[in-house]
Amino acid sequence: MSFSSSLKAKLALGCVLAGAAILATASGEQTSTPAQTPVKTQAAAQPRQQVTVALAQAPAAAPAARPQAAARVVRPTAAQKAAVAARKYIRQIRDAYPQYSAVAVDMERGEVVMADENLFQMLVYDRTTNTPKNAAMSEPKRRIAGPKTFLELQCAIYIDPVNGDIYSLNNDTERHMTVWGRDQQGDTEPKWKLHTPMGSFGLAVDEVKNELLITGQTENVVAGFPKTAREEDPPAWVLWGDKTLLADPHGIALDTKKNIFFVANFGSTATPRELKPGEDYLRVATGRGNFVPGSGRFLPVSITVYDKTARGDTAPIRVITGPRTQLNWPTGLYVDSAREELYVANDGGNSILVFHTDANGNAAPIRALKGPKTQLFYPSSVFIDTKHDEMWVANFGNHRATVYPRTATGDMAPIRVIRSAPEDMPAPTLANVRIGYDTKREQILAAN
Amino acid sequence: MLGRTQHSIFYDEFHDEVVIPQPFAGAILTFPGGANGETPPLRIIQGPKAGLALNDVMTVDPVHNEYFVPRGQGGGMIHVFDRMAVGDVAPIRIIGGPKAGLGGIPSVDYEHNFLIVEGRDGMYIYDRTASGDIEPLRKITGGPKSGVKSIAGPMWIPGTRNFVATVRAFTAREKSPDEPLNWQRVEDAQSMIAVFTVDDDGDVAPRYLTGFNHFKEIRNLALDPKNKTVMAADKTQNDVTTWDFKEAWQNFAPAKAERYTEPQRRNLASPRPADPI
Repeated sequence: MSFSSSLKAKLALGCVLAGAAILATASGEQTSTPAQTPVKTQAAAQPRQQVTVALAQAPAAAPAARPQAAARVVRPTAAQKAAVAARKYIRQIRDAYPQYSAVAVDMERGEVVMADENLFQMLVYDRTTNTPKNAAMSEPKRRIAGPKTFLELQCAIYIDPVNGDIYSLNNDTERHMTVWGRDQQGDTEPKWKLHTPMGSFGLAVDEVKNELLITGQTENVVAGFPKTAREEDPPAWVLWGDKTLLADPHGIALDTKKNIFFVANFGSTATPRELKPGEDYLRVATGRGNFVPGSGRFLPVSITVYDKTARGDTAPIRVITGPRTQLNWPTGLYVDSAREELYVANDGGNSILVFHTDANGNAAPIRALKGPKTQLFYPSSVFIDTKHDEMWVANFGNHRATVYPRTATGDMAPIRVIRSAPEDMPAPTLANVRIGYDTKREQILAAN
Repeated sequence: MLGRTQHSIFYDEFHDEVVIPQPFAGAILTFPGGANGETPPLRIIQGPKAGLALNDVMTVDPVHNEYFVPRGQGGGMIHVFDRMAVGDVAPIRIIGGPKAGLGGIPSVDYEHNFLIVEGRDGMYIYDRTASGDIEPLRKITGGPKSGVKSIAGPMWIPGTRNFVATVRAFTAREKSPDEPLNWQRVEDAQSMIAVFTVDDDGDVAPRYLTGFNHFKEIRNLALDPKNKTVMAADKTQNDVTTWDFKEAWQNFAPAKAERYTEPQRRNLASPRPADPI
């Protein structure tokens, strides 16, 4: 399971955030604020064992107070309301720099395209860009961003090898895949877009059969759309059901040589509900929340392998899973069909794992790139530039896209780095964040 | 067990625990406070009896030892569990249903025994021990008199009868179908942080509003009682901001007004717009 990585990414992140958020001493007391008295709750008056213990152990600030009956009631004046309304925030945690979440190389045109999940934009660089150590950052040659773009939490990028069109798949806060001409930039509308009703994450394209394969995280589904699909066009087929072992699926990669596809699964899943009379199977499978309540469960983290023709509730032909695989939040996938290699951006393991495309069960990777010299930090996307024999990685945790020889292994330093922020700039890695506040440690907890 | 898609995190200061709903696995995970690295959850609630699915959010009543968990997938109801429950356990009661259409983030006033949660046509105030699909005690509806709408994400403030919530200006426009799902511009969103009381009812104005001209898509709020600040997470701004809001800890008189009903009520089968995750 992916638990270890989850804690690193979530709770450790909370600590990171807390470092930026330790608060100053309290603001001045309000004369109108009632005096505080110890709480006398119903539970405290008629304590259950747990409550009694809890109250005894609670930090000094924990037991809340009840206003005194005679406390002065405040009636805010218009001027007081206006003064409060005019206030600005006193602190902000925000990353002002791009965070790369997906990468693809236009091998014909010598460009690399990066999705930025922090500032909701797409960035295009020269393929050979290499940020000097003493430079603040590298600026992109083109940038697509703004309210007209429909770009938000992009998790997959694909470049059409024929015409250079750029496909960008949003995660589920903006349920569209957008397609861009290679020269587009600024706040502009995409050439076209496809409504993807699922909580989409991974994208693979079958150029022979003109088909888009998209994973749905929330729905545990793989949906196949015609490459020509636009706007509200439905999928042509889905892979959906308990037998599939799809479980919070993320990356997807197609092996056109063996006619199979791979899906990376984090491990959380639930059983689809039965269709009601007259319901459209494809719509239900790609719609939100069509599960049997209470059927949720945890499966081992895995990469599931399917025949390209698999449809409906079909079991994988192989499952890569187990401790030897080192899988830990496997996120982005890429298949080098010619060399029979499957590349895994192993987000929670801060590594790139390479498996033979015939790998099965508890198989060890044939290569693993990992270690402090690699500069890998929450790698979420991997791309193999077969023309230049290079491996590209988008790291969501450190403002870097890192480039290696295709066969890189061990603790190998990148041969080039595109950095989007000053060298030591921390990355809060916020994305669709929710927060809690740990009053004991005075830390903001962030669930992304 | 956690993934890249967690939509709520709650710190239980009475028991020093962190509670996180896992929506894709229909589970509630409880960790020790300060957990870091390879730390397993202390307790997991999950299974057919628990009946959860896409349970994005929740809150904790640390005094009465209860978890309040909107079921997530349809039904508009909240499952209440014993805090110490482990495994496949049934809720000790269920609040809401198709009539109430409850959803969104709940909050419990454990001093005065109220549950605050977004319902079909406003912010509903229930008795904390309410059960079934019953009418709330009060509804804070927003409307033209108060000048606000879309009241959501309540956080009750311990030691008071107040809660903060997110609101939009009543005159703020609604989205058209051909726009992005989330607000992209501050001037379109017109979202703010408001403070109400648990005694309010109807189209009553918040006592104070703050956060003008910043927010686009507020995801949730958190409180720092020591410093009397409110923290807000915003998806489109992709930030966490802290606001000095000591006025929210003041003692206000209750307010009551006629309830406002939106011209287009929500679909019964969908208690609230799907929270994009």
